[in-house]
Amino acid sequence: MFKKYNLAHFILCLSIGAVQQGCISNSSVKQNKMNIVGNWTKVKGNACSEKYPDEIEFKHNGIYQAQAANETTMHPVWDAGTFELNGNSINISTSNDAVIKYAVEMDNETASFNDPDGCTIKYKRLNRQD
Amino acid sequence: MSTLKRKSRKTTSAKTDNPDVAMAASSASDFSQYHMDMEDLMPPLPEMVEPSTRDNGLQPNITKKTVLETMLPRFYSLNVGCYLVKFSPIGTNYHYDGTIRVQKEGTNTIASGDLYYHKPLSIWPLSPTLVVNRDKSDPRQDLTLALFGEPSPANGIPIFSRGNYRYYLRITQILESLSLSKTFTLGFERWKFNGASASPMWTNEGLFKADMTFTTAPAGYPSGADYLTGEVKNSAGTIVGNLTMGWVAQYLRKATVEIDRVSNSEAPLDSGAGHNWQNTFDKVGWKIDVVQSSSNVTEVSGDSWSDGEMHAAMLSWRNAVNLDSEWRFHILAVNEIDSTPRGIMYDAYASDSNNVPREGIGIATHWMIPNTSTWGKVKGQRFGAAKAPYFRTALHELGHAMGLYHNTADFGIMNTTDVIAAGAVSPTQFPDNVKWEHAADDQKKLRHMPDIFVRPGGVPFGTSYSLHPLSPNDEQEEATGLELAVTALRDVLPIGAPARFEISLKNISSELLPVPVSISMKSGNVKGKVIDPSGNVRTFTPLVICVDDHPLRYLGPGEQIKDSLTLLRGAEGALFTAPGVYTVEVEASWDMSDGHVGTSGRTTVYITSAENNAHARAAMDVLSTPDTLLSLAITGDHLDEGNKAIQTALDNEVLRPHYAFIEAKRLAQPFGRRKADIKAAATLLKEDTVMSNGEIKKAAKLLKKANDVVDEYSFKDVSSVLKVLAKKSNVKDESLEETIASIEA
Repeated sequence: MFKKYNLAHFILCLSIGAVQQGCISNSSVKQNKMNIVGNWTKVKGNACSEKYPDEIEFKHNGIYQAQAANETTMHPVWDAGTFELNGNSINISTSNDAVIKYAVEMDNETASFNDPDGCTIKYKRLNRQD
Repeated sequence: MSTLKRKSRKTTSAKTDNPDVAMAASSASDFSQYHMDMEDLMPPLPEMVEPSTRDNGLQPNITKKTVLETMLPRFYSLNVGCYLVKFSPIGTNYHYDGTIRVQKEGTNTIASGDLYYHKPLSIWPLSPTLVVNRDKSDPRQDLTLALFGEPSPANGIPIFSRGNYRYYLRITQILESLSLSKTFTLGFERWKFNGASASPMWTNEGLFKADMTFTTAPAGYPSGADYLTGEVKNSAGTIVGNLTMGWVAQYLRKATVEIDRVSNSEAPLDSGAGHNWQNTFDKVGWKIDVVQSSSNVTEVSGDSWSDGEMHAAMLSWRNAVNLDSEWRFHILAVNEIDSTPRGIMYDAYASDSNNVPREGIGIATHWMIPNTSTWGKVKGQRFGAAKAPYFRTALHELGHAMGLYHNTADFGIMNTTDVIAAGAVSPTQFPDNVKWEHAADDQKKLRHMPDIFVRPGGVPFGTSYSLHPLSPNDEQEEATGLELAVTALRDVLPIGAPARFEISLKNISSELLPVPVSISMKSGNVKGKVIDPSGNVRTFTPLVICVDDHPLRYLGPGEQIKDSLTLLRGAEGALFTAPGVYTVEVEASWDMSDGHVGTSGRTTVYITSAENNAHARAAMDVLSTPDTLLSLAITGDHLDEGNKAIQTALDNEVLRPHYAFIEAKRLAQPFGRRKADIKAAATLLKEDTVMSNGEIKKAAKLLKKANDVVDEYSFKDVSSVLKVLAKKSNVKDESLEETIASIEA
């Protein structure tokens, strides 16, 4: 699932130590957003995270699109809307249009969101859209 | 909202003004056969009144109409809209009231229903009818109904108590198009609602069937003819109760939207470009009453409102409401909202102070739209002043209150504002790219999801759509092993000519396969669509279905059944309106015991341009006259406008061969006091006449029937022409050869 181009590009960025658009940086909101842009799949096993989508795509333009598994009984809290990354938190518009603030931790391959109820939702990166 | 039934009845008038939307498409041979068969079923005609006694200039000439009304059969069809339903289980002292919603979409009829428990009180030994002063002239004043708690049909769409909600009816079988039979089978799955927090929330109690019969409605119903009764049987065939359904409204559902606002916030009433609450919800069959209520709601703690503050304001400021007698949604327009820039359905989860979900939404007027190109024509504006996106957000939030979630299938109501704004493609700017309707799947949900899902105070927001039952469109399983071949009699046709096709359903498997006895249009098993050169799709369905029961037979390996069809008009008007290539897709489908199966075939025809002005005028006449189809399909002297258009076509040398048989068919059959005129019909049929195999067989049948009265010259002339035409047919048909041989014999 990891696109060859993205992987090669990522390795190239690391090897030259460059901080440029498309590479990892936490120096600005914009570059943070670039960091989360891409497709993610939920790491299952946490009961409280069932109401969150199984797949989510964060796009360059600040819009996300998510999908739940077919057999789910709950419509996902995140279905389609906007996101805005601010340092260690992210605002995501939810299924009833409330914009909720989540604490977020990210590394190259995983992202962990902590919702206001204390639930941690983990996602694994499927690809990156530089 | 018009109805097929009403339209069909118009065909019984002497001078029909049958509109474009009349169900259409026909097999000329089928329908003339049908017409012939009906003669045996009709009562004797009344004597004509002599002209001297009626044509005095004072009395309307109604005699002709009476004769025709007597001659033509009554067609039955389900009216679109909401039906008041009563299901009375056998052996119980309670029943269920409810509604069934009937929608037509192209050639499909989609329906769903809900049932609410009702146990009439019987605390007094005397019937209230004996002691209550009743006003029978107005059922709304009928105190008997009120005493028993029965809904009055005169009040339109009934509203029932949420606490009595019991069943969703997932309707799987219902009358499609028109029928000559007054009885049809209503099939439905009965889904029991176990409660919003129960698991599972719904239980399918199985498939039920009811043979519903049109009968006269009791007093109080707005349409006396749109009333049906039937016995309900379970899957074992045991009668379990009685069902009545009577049409009460053209809308499927109704709701009230109350708008309260702070003094300097606008009420979201319309888009400023012609879109308002009612015309947006007209598309999904909801009647929306908008109530502008308080305009001076006070702010609690500054300009920005929390969800809790909005909920408290709704409870405090809205008009008195009982969600068990009215579906009332509440909109609060404020300056700013804490949790979102534009709007929110804050009342999601029944976890607030009144534990009632999906009653209220909030919308913010003082959000400043970013001054960036993404926001197109409204960039930099205050949200409340940007009427289109502001009103759209109100529609969107109300959609959430009706149970809908975000839908990015198109730029419709349930997509998000950000996605739509970001999706504008130059030169179109936001909000001009807004689609002012719900996406197709959302439309279906608003029409047919269970009451308890869409009504305020029903199930909480957030349950997956997949948890809830929903009536199907025409679900159909592919009839593997069968092949439907469609062959155009002429694949190049002049504009204005009907297109004739031979269709055959062949068993290409090595097994015996069940198929309908007939694939004629009148059998109700054939319908289809025509795709014009621009990609527009027009549908065609039988004008009349002549049988209610659709018998099946087995088709052996390699065996086939054949028929012909003639296409001119469809549900959306003329089918071949401009020069170019048209794709014609024919679908044959039928009911099996466990479901619906079918197969389809397609072909193309090319329509050429008008050859001259006379041809253009004649084509315009036949294409713009809806009754041409009736003349083609039903045939009769009474179809003045259709016959006149056909005469125009006959006067044109290009179209004449294509319409000659249609006129000959009319002349060859008696009508009223006019006798069949085989000689005149014979003069119309030439070797260049365009006739399908079915039409040749029909002509041969008429000729044989007239054997005793027709002169030898005409008989030989016509039989010779038919023989030539049969030989020229590009589709071999053994039964056609037999028919021709039988004439010669």
